[in-house]
Amino acid sequence: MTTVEAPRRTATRPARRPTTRAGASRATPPRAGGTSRATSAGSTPRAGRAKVASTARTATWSSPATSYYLVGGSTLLLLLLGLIMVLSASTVYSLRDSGGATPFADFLNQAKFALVAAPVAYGISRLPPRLIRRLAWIGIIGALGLQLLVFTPLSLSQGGNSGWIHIGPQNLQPAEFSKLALAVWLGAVLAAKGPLLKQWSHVLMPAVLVAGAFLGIVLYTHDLGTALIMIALVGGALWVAGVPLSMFSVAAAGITAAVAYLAVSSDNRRDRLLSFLSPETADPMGLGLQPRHALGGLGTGGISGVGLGGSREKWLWLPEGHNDFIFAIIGEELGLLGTLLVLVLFGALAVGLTRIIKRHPDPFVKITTAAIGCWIIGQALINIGVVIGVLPVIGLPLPLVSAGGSALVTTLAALGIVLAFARSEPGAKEALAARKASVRRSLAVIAPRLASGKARG
Amino acid sequence: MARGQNPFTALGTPERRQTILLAALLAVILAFAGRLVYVQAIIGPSLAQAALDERTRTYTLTGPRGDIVDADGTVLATTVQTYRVVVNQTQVPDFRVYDDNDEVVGYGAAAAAEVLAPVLGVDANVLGAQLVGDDGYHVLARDVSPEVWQQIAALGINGVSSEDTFERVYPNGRTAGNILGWVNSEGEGAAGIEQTQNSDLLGTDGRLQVEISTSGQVIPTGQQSTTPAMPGCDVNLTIDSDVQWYTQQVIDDAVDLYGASWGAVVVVEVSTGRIVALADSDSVDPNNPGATPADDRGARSVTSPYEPGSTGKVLTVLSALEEGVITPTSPVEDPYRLTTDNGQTFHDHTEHPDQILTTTGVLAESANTGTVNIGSLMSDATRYEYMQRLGWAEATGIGLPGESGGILNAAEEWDGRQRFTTMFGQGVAVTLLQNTGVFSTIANDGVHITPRLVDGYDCDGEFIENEPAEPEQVVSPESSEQMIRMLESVVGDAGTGGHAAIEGYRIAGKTGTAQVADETGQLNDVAASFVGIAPADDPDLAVGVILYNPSSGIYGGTIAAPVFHDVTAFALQSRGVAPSTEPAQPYPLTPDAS
Repeated sequence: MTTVEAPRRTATRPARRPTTRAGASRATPPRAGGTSRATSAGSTPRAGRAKVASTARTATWSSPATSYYLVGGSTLLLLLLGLIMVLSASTVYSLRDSGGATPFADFLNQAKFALVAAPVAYGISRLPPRLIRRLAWIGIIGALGLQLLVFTPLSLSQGGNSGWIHIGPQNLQPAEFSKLALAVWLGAVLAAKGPLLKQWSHVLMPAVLVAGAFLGIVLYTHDLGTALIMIALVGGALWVAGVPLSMFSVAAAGITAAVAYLAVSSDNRRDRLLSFLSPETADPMGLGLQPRHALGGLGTGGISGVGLGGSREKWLWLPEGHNDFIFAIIGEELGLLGTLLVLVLFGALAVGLTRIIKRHPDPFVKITTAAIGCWIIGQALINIGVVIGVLPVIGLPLPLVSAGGSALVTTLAALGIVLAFARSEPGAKEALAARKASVRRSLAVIAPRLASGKARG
Repeated sequence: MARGQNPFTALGTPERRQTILLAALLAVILAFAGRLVYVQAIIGPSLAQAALDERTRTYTLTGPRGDIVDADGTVLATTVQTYRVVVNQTQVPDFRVYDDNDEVVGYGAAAAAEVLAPVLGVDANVLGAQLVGDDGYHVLARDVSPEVWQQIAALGINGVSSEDTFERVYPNGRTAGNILGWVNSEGEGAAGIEQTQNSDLLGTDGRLQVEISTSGQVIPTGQQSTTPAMPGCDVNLTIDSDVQWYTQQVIDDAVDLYGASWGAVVVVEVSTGRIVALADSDSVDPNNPGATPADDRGARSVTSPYEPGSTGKVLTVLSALEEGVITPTSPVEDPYRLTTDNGQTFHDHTEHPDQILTTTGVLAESANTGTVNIGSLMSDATRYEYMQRLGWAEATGIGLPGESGGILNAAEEWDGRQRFTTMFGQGVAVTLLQNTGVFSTIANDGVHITPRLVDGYDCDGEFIENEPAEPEQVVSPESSEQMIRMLESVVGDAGTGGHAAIEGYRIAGKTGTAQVADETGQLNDVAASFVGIAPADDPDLAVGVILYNPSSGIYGGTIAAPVFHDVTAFALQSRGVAPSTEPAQPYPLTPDAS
């Protein structure tokens, strides 16, 4: 198969479906939607032009490379936006924490992790899904081992939770790695079960049981936020795996009751919940402080924002402004336009993940992608919901954006896995190779000497 | 999904399940977008305002007090920025002292006192006690200079901070200290010009509004609004600080030399009434008023009336000249002893045979009996009216606190003796400034100008003149000219004031030696004085000198006239006054001489 034929075939396939102006759509060059609009516009009447345009969009949408670019593009943009916003939001906190020595400590830490994690994610995205599936069991055992370290003296208490451990010079959260391992392992296990999932016993053994063990350890560390994300991750995997609705309704009832019990069983969590339900009576300098200043930041930003670097809330008024509440700083500096952009990027990520689930034939890929999607998108929506005041303070960072070392590594690794899946969509490899070739040809036009030099060599 | 199966218990298809999931996610995202529009666009402004109010702090900007400058613009009083060092005692225990290896070698109040005490120049033990406690605000030092505060700040002691303050300084020390006065710890004028001109000198406070971080830094991107502080007006005095300085040296030396209780000198520019110098002995240093005894902190030249004695004879003779009852050469009987119709007996200061003098001779010899004979030519009411118009009855209002208007009963209240004693300056009390004003009027062609100390106010670059009072023609230019010519004889060879003569300048003046009441009320004390005009041919200055209760020498001609000489000679040269060209043309002192 040549590298040029495959994309042409996939691109023109849906274009044949509309019967009216088949000729025009057949004339559409396969490689770029933009060019197709330009060539057909001149000769077609108004109604036909709209039809052609939508046809061209459909062509782009149906390209096997689109999932890859949707997921990769939104990830990259969120990562870059995060680095910029961490730099802007963390300087004052860094100055305070370092006693005035450096404003860049938090940013450099984040940049360091991004520089390590991005190549790792890129490497993972080049792995074949079969290999990833083979690592599922090793991963889950490793993650369990790491997770058990919270019971050892390596554990350190931070922010009311003891979900952090200390290894060498680095603090990390084992639960972050557990999420990644669980997503892959659940995909592998549930895909293998297939139709057996109609039976309770096959759903429980081993998927729910193992996930429950992880959940138990996370709850032991009093990290309800991570536990919620883990529930979303497991639920997403089971949901897309096709577990019957009857089981889901029973499980959902049980989980809702358990979460409600956990939410009110701890004084800390109950107070947070109460202060959310009646913000008027919440101590304005205590539990009401963060939500109040988060809304203050969003309001100060208005529609267009006060400008990058111009935040006032980051001057220590909003605790964790570079971390769990970075969305408020985005809203303050970049305004409604910035916050909507973040929502759009996470929406685009969700759409990209959905495409992979719908187009990839491998059930392992579908289930793992769903788990990763529920984890990352779910965490993003909970984080944003807290900042905009529709959820009580839960204490979760905004994926890819907030400052936070190990979380960034695992999130990028998870997205690297999803990218590997996207690359293995039917026809994707060829489409991506064609895109690469087209870029090379464009460069050759711009710099013929470079191309000829290469040809000669 | 197989047909006919219960959809509730059947396996779902991943694609459909994901579609439902995506729809749910997108619905949440849409709802969040709606919430963001509400929070950021609709209620955004009110949220922003609430947050802004919480971040905004308002600081008062102190408008500095205006300067006091002399006639040439030399600064006599000004305000400099200083710091008040305060401590929050509850934070001091957190202080740590580290050695080179970052080991803690000291902590808390003791360590803080040890490093801070040398900088503040106080005892470490005393300071240490001030650092201990739970007081959130305790003042450690006031009026600390910027240099010292920088050293303190570099120590980084927890809880120690500064507040901007202003210190009033008087760069010339004692010079004009009795005029300037000083300010109290609240920055309000407490004496002198500082007190009387306080409302003009006071600055108007401004306001600075900034957004701050929770740790107190100003947010650079935040809103700032400043209402600038307005400095107070500068007060321009009529004083020439060179003459003032020299005059103070001379009067201090004279007080020491003659053992006087105190002395004072007033120098008036006759054409304007502007006071060139107003010196009191042992003048206060406004930088440290407490170091001067309370009695010496004011200006006795305006607060302490004395019986003018013989210098008061000038007013009697001037009134008679203007009334036309005598001329400068009229013969006047001058016995040694004179008993009036109502049985009051007076005598001259030195015994002499009965003689006839001209009016000029009476003044030159400072004869009491002759003066009584001249004064008796006018009614009491007439003489009283001249005293009033020449400024003996009320204070001048030059702008110094506690100014006295003298002690002068109305003519109808004078008793049988007082109606005669007032003719030669006893039984009436005036300040040195009031008495010098009489000579200043004579020197100004008979036009009385109320003396003044404040030229005007420099407010934000705009000069506002201190409007002088309406000048009043009290006596004719002719009477004034005759009076000056007569007074030149006092300084002449036969007169009592020869020590006042200045080489190159013609001087007119009058000596005074008055008996004054001591602490027991007996007339045992003496006020020796000399008041004069220079130059006599084209008057520029009127200068009054008093030495109160000298212990060696009592006559104004011998102890006050030399002071007049020194001060006037310096002032004339300092002001660039041309020497007299014409020689004096004295009137004869006795009728037969003509």
